[in-house]
Amino acid sequence: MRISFVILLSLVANIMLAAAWFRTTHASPKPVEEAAVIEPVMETAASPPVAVSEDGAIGLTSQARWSDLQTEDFREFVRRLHAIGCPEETIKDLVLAKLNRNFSVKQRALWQDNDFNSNDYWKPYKRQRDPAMAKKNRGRMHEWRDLQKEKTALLVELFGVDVEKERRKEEGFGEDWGWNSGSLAYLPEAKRDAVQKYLDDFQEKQQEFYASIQGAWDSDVRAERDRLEQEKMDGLAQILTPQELREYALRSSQIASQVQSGIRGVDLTRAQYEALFDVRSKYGDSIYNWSDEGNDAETIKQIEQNKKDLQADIASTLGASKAQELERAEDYSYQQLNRLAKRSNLPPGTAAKVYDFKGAAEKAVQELAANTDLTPEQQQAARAQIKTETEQAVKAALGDKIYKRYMKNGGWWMNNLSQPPRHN
Amino acid sequence: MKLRLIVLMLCLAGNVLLATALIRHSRQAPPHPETPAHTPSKAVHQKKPAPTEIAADVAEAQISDFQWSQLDTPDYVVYIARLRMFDMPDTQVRDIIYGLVEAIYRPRRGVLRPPKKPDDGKFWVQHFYWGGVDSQLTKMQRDQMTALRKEESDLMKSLFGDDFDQQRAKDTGSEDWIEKLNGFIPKELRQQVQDINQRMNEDKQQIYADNEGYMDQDSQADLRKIEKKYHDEMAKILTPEQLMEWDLRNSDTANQLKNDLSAFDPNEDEFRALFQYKQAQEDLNPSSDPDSDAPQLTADQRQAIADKRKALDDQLAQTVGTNRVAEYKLEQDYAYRSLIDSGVPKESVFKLDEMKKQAEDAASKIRNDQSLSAEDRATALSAIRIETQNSINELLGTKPAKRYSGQGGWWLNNIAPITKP
Repeated sequence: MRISFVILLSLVANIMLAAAWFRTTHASPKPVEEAAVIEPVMETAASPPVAVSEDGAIGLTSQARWSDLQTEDFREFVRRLHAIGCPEETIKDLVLAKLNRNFSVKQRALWQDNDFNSNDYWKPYKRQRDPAMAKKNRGRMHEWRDLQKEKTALLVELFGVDVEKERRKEEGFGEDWGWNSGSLAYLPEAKRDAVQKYLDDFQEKQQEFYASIQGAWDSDVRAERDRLEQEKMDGLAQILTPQELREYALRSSQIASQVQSGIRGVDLTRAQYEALFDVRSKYGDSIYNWSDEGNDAETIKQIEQNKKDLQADIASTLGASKAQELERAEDYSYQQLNRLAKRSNLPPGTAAKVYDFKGAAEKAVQELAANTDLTPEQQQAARAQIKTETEQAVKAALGDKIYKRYMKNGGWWMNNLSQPPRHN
Repeated sequence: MKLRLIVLMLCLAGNVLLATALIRHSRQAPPHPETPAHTPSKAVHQKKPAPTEIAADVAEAQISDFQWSQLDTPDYVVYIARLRMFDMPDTQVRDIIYGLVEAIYRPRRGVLRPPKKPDDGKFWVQHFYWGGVDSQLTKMQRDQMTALRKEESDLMKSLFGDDFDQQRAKDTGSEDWIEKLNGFIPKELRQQVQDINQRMNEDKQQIYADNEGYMDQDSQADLRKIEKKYHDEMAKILTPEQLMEWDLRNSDTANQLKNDLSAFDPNEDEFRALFQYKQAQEDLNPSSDPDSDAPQLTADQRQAIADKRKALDDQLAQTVGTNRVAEYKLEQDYAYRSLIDSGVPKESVFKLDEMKKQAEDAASKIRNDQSLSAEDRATALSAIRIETQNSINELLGTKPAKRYSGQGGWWLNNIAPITKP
């Protein structure tokens, strides 16, 4: 009997305790976790505390809320989202968006004194020639790149892949997205990082130099440019084999850049390019008549001779036809004509044809001027005839409409054909 | 008797458990009633960072009965409503839905982009990427890309409202360029203006593509034709005042002016006055249509234009002030502007201009002096050159003076050629 009474008391106590526990849990406030939300709440949806919507179609039966998932720690955030079965891509979207928001704040802080937020439409574009400011901006660029690397590293840690890179690939941008990606792919993989690091560091030096000259381009500047170029090649020679260094020079040296910009539209084999590179390297800057040098007539004559020698060298190395093609490719009037022909969908070879008309007509006028047997009137009549014939030939090649355009942009030389030659 | 004892033990155990649960619950924020306290989720066994340990326990207890599948649905409208009901801020709701939509459109855009050509090893062939990531697309691909972007944009707007782009700019912490550039346009017209602007940019892109980025006189004339066409279209929906505001912010004239005024540093009123001046000057000299012959002006027409130019100059002087106009005209010389941009004081540049005038006057007098022999004339001109060069070096400093001789200082060579030391 006594035991039964104790059991009864205990059961009553159980019921009371259970009721108290039940009431407490239902009356409890929102968890303290809310203080640790990672996202700034821009707008909170005015959702009802009930689980079912008015039409009953979008019922949410759980009392759980977004704030329950919040934490400042990205790893923990991802873990919590995984724990409730949030789809992987949505987790990536949420994390990437948050990371980009943080990134954007830091980026704006980096450039805050650069009119980043200016809404003043009347403010002019500023050209930054101040070397100190240029240096500061380079520092900012480095910081910006570091921030990007930090973000990438965190994404890889959280998801095992660089989510942004994956998405760029999906977007069709391929692996080598970025300003400098893939440019050292011809080097053995083991050396690429070292070379890239060396070039990045060296670029800092070069940028410093270009900022310091403030746009000047005189013999001192050119000498310093050449010295820096040599220093860069010497530094690379410490990392690369002679053959690898040669590959670098063929692609990225100063001479390579000059050669490559002059061969646009000319089809060359590797052997031809290498031969051209070697010939051009021999002449260096000796083919330029820099305006600041104040060269006398003798020096200018020598420079002109150097140019002729270079052309002859190219012709003997690559053949006369290729040399002619290369010479034409460097002529602005041909480039202009070629662009006009291309954008007007004229048949291939049209630009070369008109360019040849130009060469032939100008040569004929020169020969005419040298012909002392003709009277001035006969000369004038002959020039007029050359002009008329040339105009007709050019018109036939381009068509009336494009001819009209050409005459306004590049075709002025035809007007000069009938002008008496100028004697200085 | 034995059974009663067992029941008693069970009841007492229940008392202890319930009392413990009650005490623990009253010491910390309790979970929701459906959630048994500290039910471990499948991830709870992972090692957690110390500072978040307690909070994580609580949150897990809170959500342990919850699965994302309770929210997830292919119907975006329902999904958005559920996410909001989940108390998710709109920023994150947009992050999620935009992410889902992007996951559909990203590969569709990717398909339009031509696959990278296999490396042909011809590293010496320079490729010119004249304008952005889509510069290599064909016209048809660009049109399809635009259509895809519009489709995606329309979908997002149907879900979040017409100002989705602005919301998104706010979400991502980036500039709200639409507001910045088009804030003065009534909201109901912004979409139309944007559409016109977009079509103009697409047409311009085609010209850049056709020219591989090289813009010569001919292609620039084509660009101007396109700009005029769309400007006329915009004039049909905007008031003249709105169109003026648009031009001040977006036109090529305004952009060119902003470039040319780097040293002048105008205030807003000056910029507006100079813009109107420049625009009126351009109207007096309309660029010729590349496909038609330029009209031949009569002497009267030419005089009328000269008179209008004079009137515009007078008007500008009245608005901006004579001194500022003189400065503006001086700084239209790139070499002078470039000196100021690089830190040479404006006063020095004004002095330099004065020196130039004096040296050229002096040289002209010597050239016209018939009493001088050719040799004496050359010597005198050379002396002017040397003296002027020295003065310029002193005025500007060696480095800027060197740069000036390479950029705008050609006139010195016209006085007398440079002589090597």
